Amino acid sequence: MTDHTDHKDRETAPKGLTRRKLLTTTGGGALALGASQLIAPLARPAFAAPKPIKIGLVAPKTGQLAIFYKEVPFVMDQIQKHTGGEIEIGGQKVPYEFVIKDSQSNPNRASQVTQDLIFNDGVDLVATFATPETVNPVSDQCEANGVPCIATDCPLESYYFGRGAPKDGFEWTYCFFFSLKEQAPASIAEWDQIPTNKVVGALWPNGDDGHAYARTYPPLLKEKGYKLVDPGRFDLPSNYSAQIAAFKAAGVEVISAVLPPPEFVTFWNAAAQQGFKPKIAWVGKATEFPPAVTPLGARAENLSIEVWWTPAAPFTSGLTGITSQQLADSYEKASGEQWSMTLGIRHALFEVVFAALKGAKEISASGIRDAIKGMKYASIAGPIDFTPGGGPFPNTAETPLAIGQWRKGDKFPLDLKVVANSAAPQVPVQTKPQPIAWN
Amino acid sequence: MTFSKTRRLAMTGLRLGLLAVVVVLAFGPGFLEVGTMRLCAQVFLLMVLAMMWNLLAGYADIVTVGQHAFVGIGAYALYGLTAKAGLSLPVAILGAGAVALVLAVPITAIVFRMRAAYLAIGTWVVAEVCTLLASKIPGYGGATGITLPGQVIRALGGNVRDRFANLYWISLGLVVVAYLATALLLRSRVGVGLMAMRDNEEAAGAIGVNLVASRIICFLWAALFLGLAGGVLALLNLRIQPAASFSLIDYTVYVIFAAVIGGVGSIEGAIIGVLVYVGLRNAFSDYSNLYLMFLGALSILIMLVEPRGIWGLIRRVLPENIILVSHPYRGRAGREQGES
Repeated sequence: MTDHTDHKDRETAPKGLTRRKLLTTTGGGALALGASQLIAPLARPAFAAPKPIKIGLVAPKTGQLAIFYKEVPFVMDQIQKHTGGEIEIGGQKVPYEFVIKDSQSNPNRASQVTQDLIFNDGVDLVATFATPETVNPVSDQCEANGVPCIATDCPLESYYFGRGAPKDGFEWTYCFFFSLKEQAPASIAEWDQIPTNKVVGALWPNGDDGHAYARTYPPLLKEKGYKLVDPGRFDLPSNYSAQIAAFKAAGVEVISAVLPPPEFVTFWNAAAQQGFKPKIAWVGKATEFPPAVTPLGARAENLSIEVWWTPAAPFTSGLTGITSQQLADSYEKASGEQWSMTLGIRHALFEVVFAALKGAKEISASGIRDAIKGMKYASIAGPIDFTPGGGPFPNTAETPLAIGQWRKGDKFPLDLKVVANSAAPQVPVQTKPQPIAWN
Repeated sequence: MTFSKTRRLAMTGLRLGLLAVVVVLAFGPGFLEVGTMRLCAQVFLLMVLAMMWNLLAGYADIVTVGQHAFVGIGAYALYGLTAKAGLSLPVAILGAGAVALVLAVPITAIVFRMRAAYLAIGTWVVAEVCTLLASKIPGYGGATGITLPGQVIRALGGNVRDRFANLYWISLGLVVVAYLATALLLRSRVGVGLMAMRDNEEAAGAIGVNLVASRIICFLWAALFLGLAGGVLALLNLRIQPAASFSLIDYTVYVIFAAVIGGVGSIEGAIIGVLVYVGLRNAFSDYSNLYLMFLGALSILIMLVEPRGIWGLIRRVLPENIILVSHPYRGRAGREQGES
């Protein structure tokens, strides 16, 4: 597992030079060429060591999405320990290596480094994760240049519609994660369990997530007997006074929001100052990870959020066989830091990569692609089914999604507990959903 | 006499060398790998961006930090003209430049109400507004952006090699046209006026240089080429997205860095700056944050040692620019005067 640097880009200079040398020293060059052509067919069977498989990984190591990268070194280490750097393909042990490229949380850079991986490193397969900002440009490059690509950590709607929603799907690129279609009914099912006046206030900003929420939620809320107060799309950053006033006037008790962490803090502070005390607050994007909620202290307790992976889930890794709980424990022991959802989903990504390589009939782009296309796999994040009809859109697989609330923790200040599971009945409910306690 | 003769000979040699490089580059797709063609196309497009910033900041005294607006407009126009209007690729690329040029007219009216630092901030604000507006055009993918349709990508070339060969030639063509056209602009009446203005604005105005008109011509000129480059960049990235197509960092900040270390106020500076920037990026970008700090420190150092950048350092030994944008007076002053 080596972390290649970008200087491979400059390889072309020496390449051009050798070519020129060959041309100028014509005699020697021709002789060498002739000799190598003579020797090549003889030499090949003698040195039958398999060519290592190169797996490209495009990830936001730095920049605002860096939080998604945190567990990668740990997970890669675990997998390396298990596989010993080799993978069995068709009864033959083949060495593999990862080439990691930093997207710098920048879509343009993600696009560039993917091309580096494809054209300079000659990777056989690309894996990527962390929001449409990373996943979509990487997948587009793979699609156009005929390299298989597996992605995750990008809601399936953003993946499929953000890439033009081709009717017949994509040829080379696949993504597994949850979809909003799955999330919206599951979240409402959680709210159903908490006694409220069923008046929902929407904080859906102008942006991809906000618009997706605004498309998905209203009909479902109506169906389930909720009244929606939607002050409309707004541009970030905002001070939320207008929205809070509207919510207070309408007697809102449930908040459905999708905000970046600092924006949520602004809103939550303003709500406290202006005496707005909802019973339920769902804040997509802002409250998934411990580092985002820990600074809020007790004020984060009983906030609701979707759970794409939890140590409480009964899923085990199809690659290493460890359970979800074992994965979380070993991570906390190794890093001293709290588990987060990205840990399991990251582990699942590497599992799917290995499952694709193991399932490939031959090591070629189409061989690997066909293995992904026909994949039904049991990962640590739940079943992953890329076969037609397996996901809500072509080339996608939907993973089970539970609903959780943050609670006062034992080892760490806050713990994410599963409180509802209508979209993931396999995941046990750990505790009942509770309204936010305003003191 | 012999001394100046050898210097003139050296300059001619350098110019012929530059010409030879361009000629060799024109045949690039015949011998380059796909990855190299891709890198070259990127470098060429960055050179266009650096040249345009240099034209504005180095000659027209318009320090803009909002040139990513026109790059993004070009990218969105390319998507609209191909995916929505179904135009052919060459027409759409030219159209991307035309759209940027047309939209630059009202932007000029806003921006040129300001001067100096206010103008710089103004261009930035305009670019941010453009980014927000782009995310609100229905059918253009909102904030997530959208991928260029398959037929547009295929129109660029049936296979990967053809596609990158075409991108390479388009980018090379664009950079050559941008440089020749800009060099001619700077040698024209407008350019001479600009240089007079750069040296002493009040004096230039007093002797009859139309400062406002010259500045507006440069701004529109830059918008056109930035739009063209933006269109080609969309083809290279295969997608449009507000945050990516209108990237302040990629299309303004790094471009300013390249122009500054290469040398503001010279065409060669923009070329050298981009080469240095891309070299540093490819060598050190894996050091992430440290790399960015290094870039910052380097630009400060160069500004302290030689405000005219690397080309300024080279010019300490070289008697004149390789690409002549001014009418040289040294040694040939008589002839130049006689001509005018």
